[in-house]
Amino acid sequence: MISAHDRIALPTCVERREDGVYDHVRGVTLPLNTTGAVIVDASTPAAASRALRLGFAVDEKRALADAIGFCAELNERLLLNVSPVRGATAFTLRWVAHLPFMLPARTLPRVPARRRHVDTSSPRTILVTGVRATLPFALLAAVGTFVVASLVLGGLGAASASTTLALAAAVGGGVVLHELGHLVLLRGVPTCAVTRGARLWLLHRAVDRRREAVVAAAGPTAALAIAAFLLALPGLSATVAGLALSLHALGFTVLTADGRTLCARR
Amino acid sequence: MRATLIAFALGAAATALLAVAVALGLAALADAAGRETFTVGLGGIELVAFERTARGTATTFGPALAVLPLLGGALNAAGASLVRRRTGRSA
Repeated sequence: MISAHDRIALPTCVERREDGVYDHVRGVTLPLNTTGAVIVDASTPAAASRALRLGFAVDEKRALADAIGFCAELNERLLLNVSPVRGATAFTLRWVAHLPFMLPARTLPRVPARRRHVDTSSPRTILVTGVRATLPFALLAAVGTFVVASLVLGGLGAASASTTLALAAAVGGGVVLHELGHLVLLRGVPTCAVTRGARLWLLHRAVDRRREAVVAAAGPTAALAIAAFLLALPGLSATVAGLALSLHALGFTVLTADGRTLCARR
Repeated sequence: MRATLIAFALGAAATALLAVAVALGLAALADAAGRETFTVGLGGIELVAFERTARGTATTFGPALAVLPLLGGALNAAGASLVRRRTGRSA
């Protein structure tokens, strides 16, 4: 899914050091050999392959394959962000194009992950950077919900602009609220938001088990508090929004990662 | 045992919250659609009943609201024990 002209860059909180790359969130260093260092210092896999060709006298095809492979490996470890020139649309098109080749192997194309910085040093920075980190994903979720709800409700002859908008806003807002709920209790813990395809999660420095459970519970609780408020309001739009937010209750069950943290600890 | 009880309690609470929200949502939909009466049940056990009367509307929660959380809790506890067993095997 990574192509030669995609931009590659270390995420905020991943620092290039003499001996490798240091991840401030996890507190670990990934050592790099000379080849790895050349690739990490390049701006695209194509630029990296040029540098490899010049520095190590390898042929063009192999240099590019090595550069893309290493970028994919670093991205898999959440240590490198990959941005296609045409944004998320490019990844979507590539995903669709890869699908016929991957399906026979009973697997799906893997969309590159993207790390976004969150500053957990104070409630204000948590709010600002937390919203900034989760908003792109939330907007996509809201737009997707709006399109699907319009088609389904329109097909049933029950489409109403206000209800569809309320539903989309609840889905998008719910994502932000949920993650802010986690982040508030991660104050002072190095954290970042990670998106990969249709998934968003928080990556943070290890905390003790009790705090981990409290953090896991805080996300669904934040969304449910707003759901309760909306369900108490009159009007169909508020009820639909409250109903959508109340789905975050599934965050207490083993169907979700938060729920598994809460319920399935050994 | 403690972990199973926690999983049961959380599953029951989540199911209860969802059942109440769905029941309220269905009642609001019935009201918006101008229905006179509306009942949703689970295998003969009533979950929510909506009725339009001369003085306004009435929404009644039925016994399914007590049964569903028990089912949800049991399923969550079973799922949690399955997950624990799997992670134990792979560890």
